[in-house]
Amino acid sequence: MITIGSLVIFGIVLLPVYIAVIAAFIGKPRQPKFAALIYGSALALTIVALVGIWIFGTIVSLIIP
Amino acid sequence: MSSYKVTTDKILQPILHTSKIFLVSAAVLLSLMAVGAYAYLTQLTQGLIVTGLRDWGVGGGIPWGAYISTFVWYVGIAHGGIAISASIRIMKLDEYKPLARMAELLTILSLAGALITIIVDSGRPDRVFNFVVYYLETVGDSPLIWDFTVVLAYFVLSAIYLGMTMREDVIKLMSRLPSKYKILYRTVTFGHKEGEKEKVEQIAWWLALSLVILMALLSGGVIPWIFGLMPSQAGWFGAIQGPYFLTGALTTAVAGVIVVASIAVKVFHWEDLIPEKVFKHLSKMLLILTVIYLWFILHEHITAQYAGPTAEKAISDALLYGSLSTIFLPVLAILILSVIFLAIQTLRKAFSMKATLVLSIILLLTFWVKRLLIVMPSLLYPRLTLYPVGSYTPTWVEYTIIIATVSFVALAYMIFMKIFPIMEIKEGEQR
Repeated sequence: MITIGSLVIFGIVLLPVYIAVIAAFIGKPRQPKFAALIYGSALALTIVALVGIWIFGTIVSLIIP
Repeated sequence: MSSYKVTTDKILQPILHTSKIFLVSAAVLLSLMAVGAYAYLTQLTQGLIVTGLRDWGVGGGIPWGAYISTFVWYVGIAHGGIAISASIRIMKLDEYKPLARMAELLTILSLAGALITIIVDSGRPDRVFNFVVYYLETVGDSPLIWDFTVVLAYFVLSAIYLGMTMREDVIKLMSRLPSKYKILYRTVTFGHKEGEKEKVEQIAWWLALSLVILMALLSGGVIPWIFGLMPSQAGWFGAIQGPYFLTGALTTAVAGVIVVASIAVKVFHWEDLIPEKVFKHLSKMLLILTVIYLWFILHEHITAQYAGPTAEKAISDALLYGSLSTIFLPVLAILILSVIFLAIQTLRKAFSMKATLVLSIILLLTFWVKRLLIVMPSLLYPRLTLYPVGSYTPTWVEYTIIIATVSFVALAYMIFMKIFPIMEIKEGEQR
């Protein structure tokens, strides 16, 4: 369901990010491979951060009585 | 010897030479982190009962205290840091370019500090991954998940921005950089090709623009919405929180950049790389922002005092004359005195680096206390009169952990400076 939160976050707040990504791919000089490398790294870093959170949670679950 | 070599030598100084100051500072920071780790272990094994945080409402305590205040404080520094750096790129403020990377790094490490603090505040940090597991069910309605989404995006994009704008410098200096860190240099320059510089500039410009707008929407929107959207909480609810938080964020960030840059100038003798007039301009920015912040404080209290609802007035009274006045009035006095000092310094054109550095450190600490005065009063003085006025005193565990997070940020900053050039090398070419 579309709520005010989804609209504000994905429709307004993250709008500059979409524009930056589109500009990287279609802007001149056109080097879509390099743009993919940069934003692919962003995606990889996001996954690393999420996996890091999971690892932290798992380790802490062993310490908490 | 060319001026280029002299400049690169200077920029490489922290990487190629390890001073006694570095080693002693690192040892002190590591010790503080070790004490913090012990405090966190105590908190993990015994629970949040070892902190001053207690149940809200009939419990008479407050569930949000020093940790959340520290989170807001870190996020403020983080947002302003990249805003400064991105503005330098977008508006081509070449004079400030030597500060750009320092500000970017301050952003990333402050965001890491914010993330650590929010996890530390959690009673069940083992469930932190539930943010991801229940993401789709919660993102529509939870301001906390909005924060998680946008802060993560901000962190990732800031890190990419820093890495991307550093590629050219690392390639240029590769032969002079220590081989023991080669794997890190290879990671940063992964896929590097001749002629990518123009494309890097294009992507970096758009990314900088995106980060500046995102910063305004985050520091002046998503973060204050955690507080400002809660009608049940007097002292938080209201539209003022967005611009109020944004001004606070930019003020702490400018103070933070002044602190790290002036320490770097002093330690590495970079007076010619970051001239005094850059600090003069930063101190003027600090003056303007502090005045605006005081203006918001005035708005907040005049609205509550003139004919404000009972609960709003109770909080304002507590801050101005009541139980919290012993904290609030000194904060107010420091802000007013800072404005007077900075105004005199600007008008008399008598600039002092040392005094500006000391003032910036005082402002950073003052803004931490001010964050506590945003988080705490609304919970201490509940709108529902059935609830008693609460009490809160942070314990040694909270103070120790917070100091440890600051030590972590400082140590990570120093380690980064030992591995990567903290200034853009092209600055050197121009000199």
